[in-house]
Amino acid sequence: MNAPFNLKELEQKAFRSFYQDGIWDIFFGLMMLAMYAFTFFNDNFENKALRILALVFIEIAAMFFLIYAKKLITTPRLGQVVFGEKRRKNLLNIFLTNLASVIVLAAWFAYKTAHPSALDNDTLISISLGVWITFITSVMAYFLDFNRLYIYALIYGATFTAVLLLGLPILFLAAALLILIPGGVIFFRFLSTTKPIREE
Amino acid sequence: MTADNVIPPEIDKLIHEPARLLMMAHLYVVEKADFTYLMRQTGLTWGNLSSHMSKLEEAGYIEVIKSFQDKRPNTMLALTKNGRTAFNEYRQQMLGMLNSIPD
Repeated sequence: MNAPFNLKELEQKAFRSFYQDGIWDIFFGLMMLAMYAFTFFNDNFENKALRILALVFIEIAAMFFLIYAKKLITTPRLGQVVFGEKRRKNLLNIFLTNLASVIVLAAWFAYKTAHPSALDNDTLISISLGVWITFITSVMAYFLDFNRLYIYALIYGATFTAVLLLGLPILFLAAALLILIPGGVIFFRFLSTTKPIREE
Repeated sequence: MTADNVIPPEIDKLIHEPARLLMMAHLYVVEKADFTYLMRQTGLTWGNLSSHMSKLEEAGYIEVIKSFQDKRPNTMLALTKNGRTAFNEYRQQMLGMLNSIPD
């Protein structure tokens, strides 16, 4: 009986129920896999264009998966809903956060190019990048109201730091699997327990 | 003494019915939603939902928005302005009543 009166909790529960399909988990896993593909092609092939193609191909595949899996798998099972304006504003905030992140990284890159000897501490740079990635992904988690993304934020940040410090790009693959496997389990469990609803 | 006699007259009995209350609450927190969404969130059957929806639509509390998406018919439900006001009033009255119950 309490549910209809605690409207904030009701809305949050409904919003978060759309993450029970595991599709966003697979998306973030694929984005990490794209990083591994980039480094793999970079290290093993002379043609450097291949690394860009691999990265872009997997990222585009991830986007298509996200969009079409939501449309063809989740919507017939969970329905269609337009949440309130606050949720839509959060999407804008995510875009602005990512834009700010790109600007900061571009500024850092430009500064480093102009002053090659400045900020020359590899350890500091690796840790800073990891912290920055964790921070940006956590902000996305907040605006998406997607709790598992906080864990992926830590995985992302730690992986980037470890790869830069240890020079082991295979860690990108390990991180991708660490996200993709549970994501896959959630996805297949969703498919088996939540059947599409047919109009009567 | 029937249940209707127990409920104060100012309480909206149309909204007070548990299934309709759930429907109104779920529609209140979103802009619009379809049948499948409401079924999943409320746990009501299609027939149940349909019958309660008709009553709420008759009362002017919800509107049915029909459109086409990818050439397929799409039906969304949304609370009307009257529906939102009525639900808000109902909620305030119920909260007031519950808060006035002594410990």
